[in-house]
Amino acid sequence: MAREIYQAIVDGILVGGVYALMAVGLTLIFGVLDIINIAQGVMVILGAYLSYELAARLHIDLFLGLLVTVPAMFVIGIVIQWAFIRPLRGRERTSMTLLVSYAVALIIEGILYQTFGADDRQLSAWYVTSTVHVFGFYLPYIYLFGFALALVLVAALYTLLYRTGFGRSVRATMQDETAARLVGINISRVAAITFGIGVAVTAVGGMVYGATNSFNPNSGYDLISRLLAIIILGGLGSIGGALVASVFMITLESIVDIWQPEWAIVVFYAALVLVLLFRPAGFFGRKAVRAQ
Amino acid sequence: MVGHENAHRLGWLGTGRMGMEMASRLIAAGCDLAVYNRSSAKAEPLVRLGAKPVSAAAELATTDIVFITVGSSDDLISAVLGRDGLMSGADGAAPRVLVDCSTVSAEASARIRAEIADRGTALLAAPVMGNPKVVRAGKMTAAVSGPRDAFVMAEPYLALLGRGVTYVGDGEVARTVKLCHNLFLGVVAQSLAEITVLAEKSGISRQAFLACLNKSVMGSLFTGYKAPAYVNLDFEPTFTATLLRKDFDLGLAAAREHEVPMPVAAIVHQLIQGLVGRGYGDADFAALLQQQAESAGLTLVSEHADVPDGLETTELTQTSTSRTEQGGKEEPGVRPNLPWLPKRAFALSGAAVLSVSVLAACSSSSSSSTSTSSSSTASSSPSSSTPITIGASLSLTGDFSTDGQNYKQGYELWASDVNAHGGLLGHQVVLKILNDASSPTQVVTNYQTLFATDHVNLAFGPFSSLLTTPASSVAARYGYAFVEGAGGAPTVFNSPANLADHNVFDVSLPIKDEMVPFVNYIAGLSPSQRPKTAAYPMADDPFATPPVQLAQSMLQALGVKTVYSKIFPEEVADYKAPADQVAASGAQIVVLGSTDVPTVSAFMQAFEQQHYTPKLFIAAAGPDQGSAFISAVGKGNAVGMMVPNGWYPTYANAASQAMVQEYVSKYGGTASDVSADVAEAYSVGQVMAQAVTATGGTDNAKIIAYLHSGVTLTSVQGPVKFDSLGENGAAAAFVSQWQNGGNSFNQVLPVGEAGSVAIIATKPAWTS
Repeated sequence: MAREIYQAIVDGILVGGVYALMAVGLTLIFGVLDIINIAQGVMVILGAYLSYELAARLHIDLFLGLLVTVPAMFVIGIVIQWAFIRPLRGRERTSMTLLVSYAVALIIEGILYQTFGADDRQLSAWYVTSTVHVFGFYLPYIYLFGFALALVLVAALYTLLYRTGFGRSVRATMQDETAARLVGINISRVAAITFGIGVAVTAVGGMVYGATNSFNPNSGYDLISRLLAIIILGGLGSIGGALVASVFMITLESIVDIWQPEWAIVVFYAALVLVLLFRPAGFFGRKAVRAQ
Repeated sequence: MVGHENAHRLGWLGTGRMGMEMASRLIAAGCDLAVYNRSSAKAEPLVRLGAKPVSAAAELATTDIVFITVGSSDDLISAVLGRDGLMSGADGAAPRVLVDCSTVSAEASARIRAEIADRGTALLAAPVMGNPKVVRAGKMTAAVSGPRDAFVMAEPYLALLGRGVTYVGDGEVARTVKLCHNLFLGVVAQSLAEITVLAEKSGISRQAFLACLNKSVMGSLFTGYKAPAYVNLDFEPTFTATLLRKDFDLGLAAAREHEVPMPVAAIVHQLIQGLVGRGYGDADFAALLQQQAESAGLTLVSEHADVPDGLETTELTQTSTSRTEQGGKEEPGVRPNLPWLPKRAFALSGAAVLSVSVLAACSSSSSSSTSTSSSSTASSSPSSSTPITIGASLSLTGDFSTDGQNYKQGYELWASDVNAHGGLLGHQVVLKILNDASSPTQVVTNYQTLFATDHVNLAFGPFSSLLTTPASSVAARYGYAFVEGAGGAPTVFNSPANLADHNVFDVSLPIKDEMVPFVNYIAGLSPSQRPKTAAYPMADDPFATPPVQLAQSMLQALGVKTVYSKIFPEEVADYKAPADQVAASGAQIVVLGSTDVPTVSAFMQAFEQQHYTPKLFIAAAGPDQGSAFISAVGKGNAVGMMVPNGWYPTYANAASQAMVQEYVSKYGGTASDVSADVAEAYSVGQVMAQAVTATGGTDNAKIIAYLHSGVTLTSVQGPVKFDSLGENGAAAAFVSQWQNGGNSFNQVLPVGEAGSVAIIATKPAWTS
């Protein structure tokens, strides 16, 4: 039994890293722009398909391919923000983004269906199935690389947000949009770039997800509710919170899975409710995030 | 009615438009009325109605009560006190009461009141509110002031003029009431103009807007009868802007006198002034609408619409009750709503509705046997000349449309085969297939139609558990045997309707029996070769769980130890945790209750990562998906993967081979294009045909009893033998396996079945 629990914890940490890669973009967009980007799940899948295409057609390694897919997704993010999100104004804006991003999700899904069909794909590479044997546990390289990438990404986003002028503009916008505008911050530029970054980092999550799971154009919807739960638990807008919450949630789920898999998914959301009862702003609440 | 002949004699002085209408009401009520007008031609219509013409005003002085309607104060003075006036008679005759229905100044009125008082005549000031049209409609009213006893005497006649009059006091106070009334008239007319222009500029037609307003509580007689003018821009004067301005002058002066602020009236006063200033002085005050539209930058165009003014109804009912009332008539071209029939049902059951009406139209002329037996529904037995009709609902659109279209082909292929061979018991077979669009509610409606309205002889079921469950209870209620080609989830057979009526029959393999050939294969292995342990991960799904659970209990009975058995939620996004647990268990057999390719591929990948290869790996679904499965897991890893499989086109069964050939010749393509759905549907027809032949008719009660009798029937899918709940316990089951480096998908179980290939007994190690 002890071994099973250790295995569950290992699984939780490794898979949690994958979820963190998918969730950081969402928390950035939600935290800064007040946009609930329902399309985030489909964008993960879009990122996976981009990696798949590069690997299948040009035989580019999955990690090397990120040098192409991340900038590509950044551009896609900017375009989506400019075309669909930017025109939304007024009091209903946040709820409207919910609908608009859902529409964006459907559009992307439709394009993926047209382009790739409904068949399931999976990314393959030597490190997807190869493992390293540590303390009696087989650790697949893909998860190790993915987790490392998650740490790098979180550190990079922290540096961007807390060590650069742009990051200061982003945090100012997060704190008070009107005041930020008054001190001369170009809000629409900040919004566009932040949305672009949020979508760009999703390319990384998409690659690792596509290597650890098979996917089809419809796979994004299973992800989005879990990702939303994770970023709420981590604290909206908190990059590190997304990582901590991912690992916490997936580990908890894996442990419950040992006894009763049907309860695992329930515990996942029950844990969310419980934590929010005591920490309404999540592990790293928005106020805390802004105060940093 | 006052109709007392020997009551008062009445006179009417001045029969202009108002006087004409009011006097004719008195005549219609049977009053003794003498009339006088300066130009006698104008009195002519009243004379024709029965009034007594007189040649001089003074002649009216001999009557008891004289009504007077003239245009202005001066007219009133000359008509009463003038040289040829009412009081000019040499005999000094004078009526007892003079009722002035004109709108004149208080001064003129007071002067007359004083002068005629000397002659013993009382003056009642009764300024009328309403125009001639209003009078004709019987909606006129008036405020009356003057000596009370004079009012008491005149009141019965005043009451005849319209809706009744109100005594408001002595002297000239009635004039004030009239002024107040007209102030209100102007304010309302302006307000009506404002909201009408707002509505129109927002894109609503004036006709529609005013029609709606007049139906609301805010609608009034006034807004109603002004509607035609506003809609059709009819500014033919009923009351000119100049006259209204005069009333506002007088009204605001009275307000000043009594120190009453009237801010709204004051604004409207200026607007009316503006109207006069623009040259609309002689137009009807409804031109306020024109002015308002100009201020709003809106150009008005007459809508040339036929607009009711709200006055016709009363007028018509008063004169002739036989005429239809205005209200509540049905609008032409508008279909009444049928609240019990959903819109979608309308569209979907269109074909059914059509055929129903045809049937209804023909039923009286059709042969007696059909029409009498059809009332007893399910037990009907057609005479040899009539066809056997078979009703079915299929999902031709929606989620299940691919299967639905295949089923339709299968049913039609069977029907054409049967008819080509002389039909059933000599009757041609006619299929009646309705589309349920994959909807569990529409499927119920469809079978209701087929059973209750069309009285079909036999019923074929749909093919999905989701649809069969609700549909089968309808079939049970009407006593039909419900034979279906698929939809074999336990929920179908264990439904309350089936447990009570035992009328559902699934000709195909029950879902739960899918793994039986696999279990039989294990049982056939020598104890030394037989695997010792097995793991059973299952998705929470009605198709995935039952076969795995049955396999588990059967394998346990064979001594295979269960090392893992858990149900995971179907919608889980990540299978690493349960897959790692299965890998850790080291089971030799994995029986995976999967629903799709991703589930299987996730387990396969996790197993590979954990360096775990089960000896035998069978999944409920996923490996049967051909290239979709291969593209997800890779050819090498696919080798040895097994899946239960239903009918397949190369199935070595003579009837099946014949059906495949017929299908190809009828629909084209190749044998491999024939879907298992076609075979399932075809089997339904075969089973029903055998039951009809055996029972000698289409009595559904007999058919149900026959199908439950334990008889073994044949079908293109192999033997059919129903148990008490209608499951085919004898159904052929197959297991297929990926072989030859992932390049071929072969039927391997049961061992020795014609066309089967040797099984790969130990799954090779993962290759990627």
